[in-house]
Amino acid sequence: MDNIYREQLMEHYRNPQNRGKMADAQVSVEESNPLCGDMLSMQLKVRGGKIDDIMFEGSACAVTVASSSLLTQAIKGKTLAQAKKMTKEELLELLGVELTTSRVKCASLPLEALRELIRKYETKEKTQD
Amino acid sequence: MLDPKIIKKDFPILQRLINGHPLVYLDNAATSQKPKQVIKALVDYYEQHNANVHRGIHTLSEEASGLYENARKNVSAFLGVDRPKELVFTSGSTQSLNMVAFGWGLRNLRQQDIILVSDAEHHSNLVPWQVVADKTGAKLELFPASQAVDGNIVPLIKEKLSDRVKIISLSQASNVTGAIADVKDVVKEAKKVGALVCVDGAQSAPHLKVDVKSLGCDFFAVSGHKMLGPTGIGALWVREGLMEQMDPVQYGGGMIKEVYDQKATLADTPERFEAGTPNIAGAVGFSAAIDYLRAVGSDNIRQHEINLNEHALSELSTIEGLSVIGPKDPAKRTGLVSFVVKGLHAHDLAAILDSEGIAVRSGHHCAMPLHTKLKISASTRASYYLYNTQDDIKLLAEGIKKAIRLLG
Repeated sequence: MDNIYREQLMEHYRNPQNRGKMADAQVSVEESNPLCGDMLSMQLKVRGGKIDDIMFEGSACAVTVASSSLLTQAIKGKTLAQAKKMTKEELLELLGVELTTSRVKCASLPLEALRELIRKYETKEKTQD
Repeated sequence: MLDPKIIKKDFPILQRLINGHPLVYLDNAATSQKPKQVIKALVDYYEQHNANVHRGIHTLSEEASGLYENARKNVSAFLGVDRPKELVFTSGSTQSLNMVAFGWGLRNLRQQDIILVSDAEHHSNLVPWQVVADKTGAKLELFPASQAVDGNIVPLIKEKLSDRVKIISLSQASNVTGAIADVKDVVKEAKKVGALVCVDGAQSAPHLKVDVKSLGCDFFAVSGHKMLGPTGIGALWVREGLMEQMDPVQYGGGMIKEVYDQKATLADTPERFEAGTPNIAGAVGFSAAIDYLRAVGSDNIRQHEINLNEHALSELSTIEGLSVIGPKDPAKRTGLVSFVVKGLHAHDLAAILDSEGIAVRSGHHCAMPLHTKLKISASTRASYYLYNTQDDIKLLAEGIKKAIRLLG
């Protein structure tokens, strides 16, 4: 089928990485897709300035699930500074499919969640100092 | 009876191929396609009659004014409105409903007053009321139409009624469940407590015979583009006398009598509510759409859609994991069916259907509170019209099965 549901995306949809709930998360966020009202929650644990663990959960479409899986996989172990540099274009490249404008929103939802997570984590750190 | 195969020939866009397949257009609740008669009316207007209305002495302005006012008469007659002066042209239902909320609501609502709407409303009949409630101190209450599976909302409204309720605003037909509300009975109850009734007819006027007189309501909003007309044109009917209790929400040219440095006197109704150059071509196109619908006949369209409902409900019921939202009785819904498929997200389903040339809508259809109450994030909606066939429904069912095979 000549559309977006190709191997890479389907693999991550069927067997998503880092999906589930973390018991010892330091921060968590919820982001919603205004197109469909989907909720995506994401949790983060940082150790020594690096992303020690990151997990996502939520009922979402195949594009959002695959994108969340690929994103969390890609940034695990990276420093916060590196994770912050992740762009939408890089994420779309990881997905490896051409998306229409509305589906780009599905794909970028986890990136928005990630940015919010880091922002929240850094604010929390600052207030604790 | 109408023959959709013959009607289809009037709609040039329905000849298109989408992703290599003949287009199966099932997103009519979002917007309908346009017959060549409507497109021709638009071209003819711009090629032969284009001018600004009302203020010109020259021939073209006279012609344009005549066409615009004839359109008002034609749309009025279609909705059962005796006096075209009671009909304001708007950009669509959203503007019409905003006009009621801000034009009537801001002026007439006080603290302690209650605005009653359903929890199944399109955002356009909810959000304006949220803002008006906030500005006036009136209370916005929602009655749980989401729980009335068969569309019987009257008992739910009765429970909420008191003399504090000043207006009930509800859709005659839901854009998600398709459920048809018994507006006449709602009006009967509303009258007992002296509340006005505002009806969002965006999803009903294209599919059912509408007669505002027999409905007995006070406001009725429609969109032209959902009933074969162009986008950007709609109407608001206001019961005689009520316009005097409303303020315009826009001010400027065309809606005044005399203007001085510091003040102005307003034009008569309905011009008072149509500031600026109106959508003349849109009104002309809307009128041509009304002609087309009248020629086919509302009753024929209704019967055709009940048949399609029957067909869709029975085809979809054979698909495992699929559950239909809304009334089980095909005669209790307009021409649409929304559903969820277990383990298959609405966006994914819509994308796979699109690859087969089938256009459906996925998401919350601008009714997020309803989806929240139904405990689903998104649904898929197939909505039909006079040109859809039983084959379209069959292709839809096959497409859903294919999506389940691929992603389920």
